[in-house]
Amino acid sequence: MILEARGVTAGYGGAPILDGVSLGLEPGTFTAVIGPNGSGKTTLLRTLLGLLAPSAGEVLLDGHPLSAAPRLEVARAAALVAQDAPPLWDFTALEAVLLGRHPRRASGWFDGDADVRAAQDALAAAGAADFASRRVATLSGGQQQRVAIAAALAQEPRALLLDEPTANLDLAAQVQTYALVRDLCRSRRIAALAVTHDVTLAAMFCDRVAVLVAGRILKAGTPAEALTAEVLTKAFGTPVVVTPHPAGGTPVVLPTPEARR
Amino acid sequence: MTRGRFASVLLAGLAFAAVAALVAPMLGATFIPWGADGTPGEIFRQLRLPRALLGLVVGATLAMSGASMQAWLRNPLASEYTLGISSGAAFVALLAGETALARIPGGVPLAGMAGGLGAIGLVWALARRRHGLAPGDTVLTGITVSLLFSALTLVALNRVASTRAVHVVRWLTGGLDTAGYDALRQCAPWCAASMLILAAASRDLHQLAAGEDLAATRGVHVPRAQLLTLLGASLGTAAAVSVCGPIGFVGLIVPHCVRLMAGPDARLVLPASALAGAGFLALCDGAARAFSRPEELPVGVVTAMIGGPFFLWLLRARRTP
Repeated sequence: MILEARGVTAGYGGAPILDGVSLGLEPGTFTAVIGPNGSGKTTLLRTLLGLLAPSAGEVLLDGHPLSAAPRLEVARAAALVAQDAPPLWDFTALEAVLLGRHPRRASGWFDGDADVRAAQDALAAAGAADFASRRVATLSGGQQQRVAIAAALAQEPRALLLDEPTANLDLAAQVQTYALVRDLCRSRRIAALAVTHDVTLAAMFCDRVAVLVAGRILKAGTPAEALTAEVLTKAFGTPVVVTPHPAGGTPVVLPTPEARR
Repeated sequence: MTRGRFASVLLAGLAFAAVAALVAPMLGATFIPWGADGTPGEIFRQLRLPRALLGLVVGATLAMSGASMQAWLRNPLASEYTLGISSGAAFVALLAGETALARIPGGVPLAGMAGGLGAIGLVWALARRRHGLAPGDTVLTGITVSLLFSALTLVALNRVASTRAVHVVRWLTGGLDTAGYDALRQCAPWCAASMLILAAASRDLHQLAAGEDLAATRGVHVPRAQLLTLLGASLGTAAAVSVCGPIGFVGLIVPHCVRLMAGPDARLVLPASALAGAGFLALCDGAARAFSRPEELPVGVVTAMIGGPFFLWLLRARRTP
């Protein structure tokens, strides 16, 4: 277990948003967290990264309390692909990825040859080598997401946490993003966690799915175990049907017209 | 950013500042070359040289403070002037100048820093949202707070003895008209301290370009970086303002031009802005004296005449990305 939440309760003052959540990230495993808006998905992600301190329970990094780990050690272990980070329009893709070298820079201040090489490798691994020298402002949404993933990879993390990685992406870019993260899990033994609304894509590419409702995990398991019509109807408060995908057989979730108004 | 690129850009900035330092003292109502004798030589050594040096130091400090505010807020419209730091510092420095604080070395600049911090603190408190500051709101709030402090300054001005009022009004216009090295001695140490603090924060400011969450997950102590930036920018601005009054737009124009030429990396933009700002203000002041003779145009008027339209252009350019 690289990162683990144990009975974590957390929020931003007032009523807690997460209420006793336990979840672990294993090397080589791609986990999705799904759930309605406001269920605490992003709060869980921020708590796992140490951006938000739990009010009860704890987050463990390699079995030790995350809160006691040095900042740079955490940064070398876990990386974030944020959803609403400010756009780096004036940066080239390579410059944006070099930001991720912060916890790994040998000189501490300047980017050395090793950092530039690592950033180029990260761009290549994310399928973004072709536009390394282009300004981020000129890239498509899917290309920008590849750059964001490359920047996270430049940290050489063992855990990769993605906040709604396919929001605002077209269909092809959505599939490519999920496939890319799954391949990174397999090839680099990275533990990945994606917070997402894409139930169908999560079922296709993830090893495990946790369904988060009102700050609690309603169900966790393989996509087939967790993504049942019963669980999802309860989670989202609208009737759904779940049917096997014609290609591959993973669960496909469809809303039904009998939705309550 | 590699070491080589850092060094080459800073060398270019240094060359510009050096040229400005050579040229600025020669400019004025009459041209006086380096090494002149007699009365012109006295004017050169006692008036023009300290004034050019003051311009270099204050220009560097204001430009670096502005660059740090823009990096911190990720907003090209931010600067020590548009966020109210200048007018907050001016107001408190004016009050402090009328009290016993004026006789303590560093009393006025430090009081001014408290005023600058108060102003930016007020802006921060008013514009802060859960996930950082909304850029448009922040500058709007900053300009409003700035107007508020300017109004308070005018109220305070009414209480100043009429014999000093002319001097205070001149100071509030923002200018470098000082004689001898006293002004330089008063502000240079604080300006230097401010620039050192901001240089130390520049690496973390570079990380903040990607937002507070990403910076934190990459190992940056975000609150510490933000506090250092605020302290450094407020200290430098207050030191400059307490001697020269609020000279506007240097912290807006210079970092913007530096970014256009050197890219967005704060590790480079901050020190390069200091060098470019030094040269810019010294040359503006020299030009103002050369072209407006016999009466002198305060450099604050010159920078405002360049900076006002520039700010409007930035506003328009931002709307069409």
